Amino acid sequence: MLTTTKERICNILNKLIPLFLAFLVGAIFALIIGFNPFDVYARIIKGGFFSTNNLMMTLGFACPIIMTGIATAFSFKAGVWNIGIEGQLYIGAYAAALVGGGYYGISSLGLPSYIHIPLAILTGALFAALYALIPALLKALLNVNVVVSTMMLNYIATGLTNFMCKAIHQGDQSYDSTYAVMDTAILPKLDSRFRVTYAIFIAIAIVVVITFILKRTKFGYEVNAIGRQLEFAEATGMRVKKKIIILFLVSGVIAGIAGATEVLGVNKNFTPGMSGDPGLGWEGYFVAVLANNNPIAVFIIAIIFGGFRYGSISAQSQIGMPLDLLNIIKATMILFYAIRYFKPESRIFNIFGTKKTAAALSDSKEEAEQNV
Amino acid sequence: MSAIMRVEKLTKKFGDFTANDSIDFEVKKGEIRAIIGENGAGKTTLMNMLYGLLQPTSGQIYFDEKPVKMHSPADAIANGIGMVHQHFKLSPSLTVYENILLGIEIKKEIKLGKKAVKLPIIDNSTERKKVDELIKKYNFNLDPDTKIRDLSVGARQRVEILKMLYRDVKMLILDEPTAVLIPQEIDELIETIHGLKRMGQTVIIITHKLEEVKRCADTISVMRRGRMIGTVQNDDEATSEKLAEMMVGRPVLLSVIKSGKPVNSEKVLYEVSHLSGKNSEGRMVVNDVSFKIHENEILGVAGIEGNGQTELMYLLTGLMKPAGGSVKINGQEVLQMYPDQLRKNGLGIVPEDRYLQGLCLSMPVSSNLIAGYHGQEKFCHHGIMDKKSIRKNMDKLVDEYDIRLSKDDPEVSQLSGGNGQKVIIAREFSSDPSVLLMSQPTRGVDVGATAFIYKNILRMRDENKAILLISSELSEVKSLADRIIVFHNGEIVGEFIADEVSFYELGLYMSGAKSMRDPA
Repeated sequence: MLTTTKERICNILNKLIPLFLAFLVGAIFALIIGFNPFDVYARIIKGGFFSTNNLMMTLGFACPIIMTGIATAFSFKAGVWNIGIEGQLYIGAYAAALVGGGYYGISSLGLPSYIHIPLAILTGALFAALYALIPALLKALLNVNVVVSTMMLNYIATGLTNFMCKAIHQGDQSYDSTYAVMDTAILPKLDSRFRVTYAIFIAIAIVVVITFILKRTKFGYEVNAIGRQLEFAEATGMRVKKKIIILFLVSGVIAGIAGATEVLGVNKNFTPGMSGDPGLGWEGYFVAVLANNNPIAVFIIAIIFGGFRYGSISAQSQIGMPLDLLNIIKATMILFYAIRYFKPESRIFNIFGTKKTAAALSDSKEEAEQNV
Repeated sequence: MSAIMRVEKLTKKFGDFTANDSIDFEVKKGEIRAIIGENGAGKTTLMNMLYGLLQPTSGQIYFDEKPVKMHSPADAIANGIGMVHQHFKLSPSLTVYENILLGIEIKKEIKLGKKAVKLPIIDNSTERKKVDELIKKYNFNLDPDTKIRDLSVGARQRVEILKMLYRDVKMLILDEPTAVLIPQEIDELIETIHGLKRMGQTVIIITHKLEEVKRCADTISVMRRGRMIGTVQNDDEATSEKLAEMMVGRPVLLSVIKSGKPVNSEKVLYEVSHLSGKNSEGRMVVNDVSFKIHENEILGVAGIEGNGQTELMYLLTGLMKPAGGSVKINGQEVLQMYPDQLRKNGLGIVPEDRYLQGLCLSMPVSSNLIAGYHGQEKFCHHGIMDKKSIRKNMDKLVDEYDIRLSKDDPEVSQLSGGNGQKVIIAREFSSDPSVLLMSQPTRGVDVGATAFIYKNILRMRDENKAILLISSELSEVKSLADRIIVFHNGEIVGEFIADEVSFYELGLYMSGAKSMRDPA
């Protein structure tokens, strides 16, 4: 029991310390640009969370981040470092914008809402999945490094959609965009005053389904094993390559839905900068890392991130605080999170007794295996 | 001659595993000492302690009659102990002399009045000259200006040796020096080692290749299972066979009581014919291997480790692509199947590397107890895992196989080696396979668990299974198996009835001195 208590304390400390340090660094930058950090943080937190109205706005911002976070976490769980969610989201959003915008004669079909909306979302999901298939096949067939291929495909996706938008599908706006989404394809909002749309239910459904898959299914069992110990997975006959391809496809579908629902419900057209800065895919990456790829934790942290996003928007409108301050905090949080501040075998725990912990034992056993 | 190095009661433990158990030995000045023993005997652990890579749990090292404590290789080198590892640590894009002086570069100096000031610029010509002198002194066939990437493996090894000599070591440890060399290079290396001896160096060679030991060592120390078994003079009495016997151990550690149930030679359960496999470098590591295992039979595979047994296991368990051949369970062809399909077809697999392939360390015991069988109807309906039956399976096996758990369903990383192996044994035996493949089933396992595993292996034999038992522990093979095949260089070089063959005879075949392949 002693070890588990220790591990738990370590876990909590290791999560809280980066949060604290990140806000500390943020405070320094706030001071440099002449803001009172306490005032800024109070406004962000209040603006993001402290009223039903604000929470509804927050959920709207959190919704796509929940989905991109899940998409990332699902791949990461199997040790597949797919950081191509941003690109897949762009492809999905773009495809959905074309269907929703009535391109290619779709406008003349007179589709009712209950067909048009699902059609647009599914098209987005399909194209995003196809886009995710590229790095999946590169990995499975040629063993190409996933980080490199997905990262580069992100640039290709943003570049490609930007070009298509300018050259071929330019709509009626003075800025680069597709035609506005037709009324029949608009994903309705829960309440017209707030940002949050019915996509939040899709996001919740995705969280539930992915949690179920990871916890209860054979596929989830194998994903866990592949992510923990590849040789073991192969020796017990889990078709690792096939699993990797499926993982990519599922991540792609979720990323595509995230992009499509954002276009159909919030933006109402596709613009090359739709994902913001940092992009929704990258926010999802942050969230997945902080959540340690646990879907439920992704859901909660994504909502906190959504709150930060909305809170800093209100802080910006009230006192003119630049939004970038929040990006600094988020980025440093990831940086600080990469450090393990406390280990169960740390000296600091010797006050509880000197018994060797399980983790330390297993470490030394591995060492023994390597050395004998 | 006096001892240059002496070791007293040196012990190294990793957790509850003792890698080196109270080692006493000494090395005389100017001798060539070979330390032999199988993989896992504890040679490398011992050397890593002498080189400061590991700190002993207890015991004392004396060098030049002074007690020394080394915390890093730098300490060891400062004390005069150098080591050349099996895998070289050289920078391919740099020249020979640059590699030798890496980390201790000579810097250019300028005189400012009376003071000499070092500049942060490397003095290449002095470096080159010094290395050239060293090469001439030891008569190494090397050009200081060649880039490492243009050198043969043997020449690279000489650079590694020079690196140590430049640092003025008095004792040089060579870890498996011949593992990466071709025969001609081995001749050169032995020549080099003799040259070093003439110059007054003390050399320790760690290896498990007996033939080379015979050719170059003055004295030979044998290690087995973490203990120093003995040291002998390399004379005519120390034959390869005798050394092999010392390495693998003649005495039967545990008494094994066989039931005496006869082998059912009518019924072949497992048949391997003309199986071959190449490693990633394209070398034939398993060459045209054929054997049959009958019902109620244990077929033992003896051989010095590294002679293709590992690859044979990979081929038979679907982890390596075969170059040809056929494998049949109960007459059904199973070559090229995935491990889960093999298990479904009645194969039980106890892999050689417990913690890499047999168990997933960070998963709980219950999950490990279904691995490989997790897709079968018993544990999984339409893709959804049956938690209840997985739980029941664990409770049953933990009880039946006496797996000792510290708490409810812990991660496997918290189990001892013996209990970890019991998890694998329980998983594979309980699935009621018709054929069992086992590799090193008791490696690193304590005596109690070993006895338990032996008992279960024999029980499985009597329950009409066919069993393949690969082990580097010769006594294990000899006491458990009904029939023994001997592996050498990826080939079967001998086949015996276990009760009718002596350790001495097996040793001859294992060392390659005799083979049924060549009638001479």
